[in-house]
Amino acid sequence: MIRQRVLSILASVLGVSETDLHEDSSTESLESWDSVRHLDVILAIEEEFDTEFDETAIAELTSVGAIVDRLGGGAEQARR
Amino acid sequence: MTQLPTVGVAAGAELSFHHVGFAVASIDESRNFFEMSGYVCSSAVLDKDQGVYLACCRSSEKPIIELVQPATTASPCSRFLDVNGPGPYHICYACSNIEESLTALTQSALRYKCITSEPRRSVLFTGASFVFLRVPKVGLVELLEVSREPEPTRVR
Repeated sequence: MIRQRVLSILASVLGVSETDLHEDSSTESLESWDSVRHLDVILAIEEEFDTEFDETAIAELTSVGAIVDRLGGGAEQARR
Repeated sequence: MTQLPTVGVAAGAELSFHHVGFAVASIDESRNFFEMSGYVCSSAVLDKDQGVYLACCRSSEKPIIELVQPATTASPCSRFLDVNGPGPYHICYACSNIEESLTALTQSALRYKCITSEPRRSVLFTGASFVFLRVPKVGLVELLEVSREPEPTRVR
């Protein structure tokens, strides 16, 4: 569930298809995920999950997997 | 100075309009339009940190326009051009103290993120420092810390 919500946000903000996103999709691999769009991603994630990331986290949350893990999506998936 | 936002702005944190950043693929090929419409445009200067070339267009009757040309394809400005084509890229407000202005914006409950953690030195507006903010539903906003009132636009 968390993963799906993250993918939906990323697809919307970055202008890509959800099917093109995977755990390793990142600021390095996606051309549209630049430094400005990264902040759009962070702001959208914060709003969706009613949370706030500090500067260190913002610098680290540069891949689908990192964002999902941070939000607990990794544990959620492992429980299934 | 015009205040933005209008609620809860501390003394010294007021913002006043300074310029519009206008993304172009080529300053050399775009400057003619602005010069024909009454602007005097400076030479392009390279901002290595941002990966862009910048030129300042001034007019006695019009707001300042900063032409922004990507110097590398890695620049977010390059991506902006790919998606949107040339056009308004950011809006810049002058302030007397960036830190105080950011505090005031935070206290006003405006959501934003700073693109850089520390202010940088402007290569175009000599002596000024700046930060870029990403503001949801608005876009890219620059705060330019000037030690005095922004210069009036020069008479051509």
